[in-house]
Amino acid sequence: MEDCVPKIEFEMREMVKRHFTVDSLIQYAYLFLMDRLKEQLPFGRLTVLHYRMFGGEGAAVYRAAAAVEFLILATDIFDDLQDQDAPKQAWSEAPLPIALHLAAAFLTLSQQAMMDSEFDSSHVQTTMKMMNLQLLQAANGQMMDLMNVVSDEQSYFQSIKQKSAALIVHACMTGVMLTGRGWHPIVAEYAVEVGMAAQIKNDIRDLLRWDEKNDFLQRKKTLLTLYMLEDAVDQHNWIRDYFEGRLNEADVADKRGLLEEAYEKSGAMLYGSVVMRTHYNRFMELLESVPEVAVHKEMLLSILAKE
Amino acid sequence: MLKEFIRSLAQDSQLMNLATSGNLQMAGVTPAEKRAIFETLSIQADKKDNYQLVYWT
Repeated sequence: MEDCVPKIEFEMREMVKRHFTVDSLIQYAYLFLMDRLKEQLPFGRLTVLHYRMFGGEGAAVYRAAAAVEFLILATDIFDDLQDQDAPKQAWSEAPLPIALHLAAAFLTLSQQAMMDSEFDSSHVQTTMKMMNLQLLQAANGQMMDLMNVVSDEQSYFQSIKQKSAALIVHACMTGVMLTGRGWHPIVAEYAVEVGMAAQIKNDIRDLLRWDEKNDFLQRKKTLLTLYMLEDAVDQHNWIRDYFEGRLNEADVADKRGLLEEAYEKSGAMLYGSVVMRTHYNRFMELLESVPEVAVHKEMLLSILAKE
Repeated sequence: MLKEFIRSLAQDSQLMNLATSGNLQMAGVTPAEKRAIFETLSIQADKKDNYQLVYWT
C-alpha cells in the first residue's frame, strides 16, 4: 500500500484551513496535529487499508481517514485531560479551556470531513451512523473507566471492549463501509479482539512504570490488579490494603521492587500475557478467514504493531 | 480455570518446567488458552529465566 500518512495529513490540514478562521484556533490545531503526527496516524491508515482491501479505489478515502483521525484525536485529548496522565502532550501543556475547545472542534471537524467527502451520500450516511454508534460505545467504556466501576473480570472486559476496541472497529469499518458494503461482522470481531489485546498490553506496560500512569498507584482495576487483589498470599496483603485505602501513596512509595516481584511471583504477569495472547491469536484466526484481508495480512500487522 | 491453573504454575517450579517443555496436562484449560500458555512460556524461556513482559508484536 502507498505511504498514505502524508495524504491523510494533507486532508487534515485542508480541513483546518477551510473551517477554522481564527488565527489562534488554527495555530493550536496545527500544534496538536504535529503532536498527533508523531504516531503516524495508525487509525487513518487502518481506514485506508480496509477501503483498499475491499476494492475501494481513488483518493476520496483520505478525507474519510482524516475524519477518523480527527475523531481519535478528540477522544485522546478528552481522555488525557480527564486522566491528567499525559503531561507532555501539547494539549496537556495548553490552557485547559483551549484544549477542551479544540477537542470539541475536532469532533465537529470529523463529522464535517465525512460530509465533505466525495462518496455516495448513502454510503456516507450509513458510515457516519456506524461511527457515531462506535463513539457512543467508547463513551460508555470511558465512563466506566472514569468512575472506576470495574469490579471483576467481566466488567473489565466490557470496559475495554467499549473503550478501546470500539475505536479500532470504527477505523476499520469506515474503510469497509465506504466501498458500499454493509457492516462486516468478521472485521468487527477481529478489530475487537486486537483492540482488547492492545489494551491488555497497555495495562501490563502501565503497571511496570512508576508514575502518574501506573494503575496500581491510581488504584485502578485492571486484569492484573484484579488478579493480585484476589491473591490469597498473606505477603501481598499490603497491595489490598492500598487499594482499599488503609495505606496511602506515601506508605507504598518505596515498594516498587516488591510490587514487581509480587506481579511476577504470583503469576499475574504470566496471566496477563496469556490472556492477551489468546485474544491476539483469535484475531489472527479471524483475519485469515477473510480472503480480502488475509492476502494483505502483513500490511495490517505492520500498522497494528505500531499501535 | 485458566487463572487457577496459572496460580498453580506460579507456585510450583516443577509444574512450570513441565509446562514450558509442553509436557504438562492442562485440565480445564481450553485449547486456545493452552496454545497461548505454551507460546508465552516459550517466548519467555528464550529471552530470560524469570517472567517478563511479552509483547504480541
